[in-house]
Amino acid sequence: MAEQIIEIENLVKRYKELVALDHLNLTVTEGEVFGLLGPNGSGKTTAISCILALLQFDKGSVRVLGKEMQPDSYDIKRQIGVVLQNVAVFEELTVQENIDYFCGLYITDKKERKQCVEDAIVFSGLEDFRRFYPKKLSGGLLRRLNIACGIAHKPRLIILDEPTVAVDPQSRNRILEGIQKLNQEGATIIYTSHYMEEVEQICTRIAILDKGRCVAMGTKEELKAMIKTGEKIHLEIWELKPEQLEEIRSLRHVYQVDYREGMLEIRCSGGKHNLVHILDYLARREISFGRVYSELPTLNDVFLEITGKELRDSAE
Amino acid sequence: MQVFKVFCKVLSKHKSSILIYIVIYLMISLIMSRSIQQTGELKFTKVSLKIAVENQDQGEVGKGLVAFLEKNNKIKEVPADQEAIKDAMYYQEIDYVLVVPGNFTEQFLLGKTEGILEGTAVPGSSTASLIENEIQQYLNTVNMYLKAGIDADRAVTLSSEDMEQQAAVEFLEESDAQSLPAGFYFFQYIPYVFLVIMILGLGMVMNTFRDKELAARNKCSAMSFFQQNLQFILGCILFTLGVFLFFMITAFCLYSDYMFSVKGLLSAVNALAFSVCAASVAWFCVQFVRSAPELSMMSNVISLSFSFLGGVFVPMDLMSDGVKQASKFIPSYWYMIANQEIQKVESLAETGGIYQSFLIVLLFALAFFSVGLLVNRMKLRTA
Repeated sequence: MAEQIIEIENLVKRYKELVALDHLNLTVTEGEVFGLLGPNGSGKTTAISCILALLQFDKGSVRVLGKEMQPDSYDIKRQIGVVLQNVAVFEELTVQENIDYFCGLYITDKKERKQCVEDAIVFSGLEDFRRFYPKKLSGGLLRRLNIACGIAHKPRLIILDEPTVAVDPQSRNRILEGIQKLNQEGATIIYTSHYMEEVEQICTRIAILDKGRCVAMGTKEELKAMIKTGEKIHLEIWELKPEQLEEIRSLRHVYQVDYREGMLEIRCSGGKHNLVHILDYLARREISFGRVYSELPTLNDVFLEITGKELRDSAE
Repeated sequence: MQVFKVFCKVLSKHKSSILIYIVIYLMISLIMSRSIQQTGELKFTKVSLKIAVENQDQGEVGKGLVAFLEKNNKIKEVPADQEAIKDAMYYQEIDYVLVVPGNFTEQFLLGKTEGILEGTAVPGSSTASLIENEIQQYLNTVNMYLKAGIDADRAVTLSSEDMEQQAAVEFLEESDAQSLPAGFYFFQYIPYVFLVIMILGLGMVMNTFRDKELAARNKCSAMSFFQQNLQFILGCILFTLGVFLFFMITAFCLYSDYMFSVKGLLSAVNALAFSVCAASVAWFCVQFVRSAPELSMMSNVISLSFSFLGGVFVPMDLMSDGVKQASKFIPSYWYMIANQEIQKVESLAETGGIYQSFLIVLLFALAFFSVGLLVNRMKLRTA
């Protein structure tokens, strides 16, 4: 049985009146790419800070690699790699010097460190920029340097807090491939992001946080099964009367109908042959239509259905 | 020693701005000590002027006046015409042209003193007033004897004798320039340069390591917080000592006589105490800035204000009592007090009050460090 890398039980963290983490429970198993999703202010970064013992919490427990995590748990910290939300590198050091510095905080043996630094440079594709100062690097390269600094010491657990913010698609793709490679090499990954497609692409298990609580957790498929939407059907219809809209809404499995600017979106809660039933209805009523397509719910649908559609602007 | 190595690398990135301040400081202290010493050597010089005299008077007073002027100045012939006079004055061949009219003695004996001599000088020149003052002094003396009922011949003779007399002047207190060694000026400006270097150098490194993201990453690492702090403090101590030693070696090279004396030794101890205090001030300042430009601005504001208020740039004697009272709350004041006291010391046995100043400077260091630590803790709590 795979080892529990992280076990969080009833974790509570308050900032004066604000409850940032409200009896949070989480477990991360070895070898997983664990996605941590949540709107702004949901408690993702606070949870990560508690895991890393950067923050003191009010209640609950955090166990990492089977041991209680404390600020002085250096034997545990040795096995953790951290890539924080904002780029954290020394402007005064070159790419190579930066990686060497952060790697040196974990590995004291010079020979071993040299090899680790070289591997990290190759891994992040920074071979041509090793003598560059961070100021001279593009946003994508800077993010890659940030990752290289966090993973150079070859940790067993890697925590990546939104590592692809403000990165172009090419760099993002490279970063995601790199993360998958690290996972294949044996590292357990905790990944937080706002980009649903990224999480869907690389995470094997996902937890959705909202208002400091874990509101859903499971694989992509499990999460999708949790929501009402089983299928989304889109039809291009030029004219639709209100009574016809009501008739469509009353069809079997249909639970939500939205008609806007000539596009009809029908959400079905499950069942089979939903599209056939709808097309059959349109033929009977002689309603002409253009493009038609059907899709399964995405993680974005899961996220919005679970956390709601209202804007979240509070600071985390 | 990862933290220590990065400490040095970050510091080396700011070496150019530190070097600029060192060079400026050395130049200023050298120029100041040299110029003050030179002005001290040229405190009094008797000036002999070139006067062209045409005496048309055959009387006693006229002859006496010319004879008197001859004793202290170089008498030359009056050029032929006005144009030649102007040329001679322009080329500084003569400083003054004096014409004693034929009826000068007669007029003078009748009691007339104004407008009976014709004098020409370069307009606005100081030499004109110097000569006119000399002539006036002589004529006043003659006039005094005449009024006392002494005849003209005798009055001229007595006046000439009087004017020859010279008074011996003795300074009760020697000026600073004469009494203070050149090394004093080197140490006088130390507070300014130490504050600038420490705030710029140490402050920049501290500011870098205090960056929220970098600090979080360091905290997450496997190197203990104690180890990291230890290496950082080692960097601070070595930098402070390095700056102190650099200035002491420079002082030994430039003012070896001074440095090998008791005064030099005490000045070095005074500078060492202040370097510790300046490092502490740097730590304090860093708590209130968020960027390098802010820190650079603060280094100038703090070093200049501490220097001006502490009497580094302005002598304390010129400060009002109110300002002096306020100055007691800044370390540079006590450094300067010690620096002045050191100049009166001849042996280590008579250093009583100086140690008290050293101690006050070190207490300031402790105070700045403690307040900085407190602010740091409060910021961490509210972060």
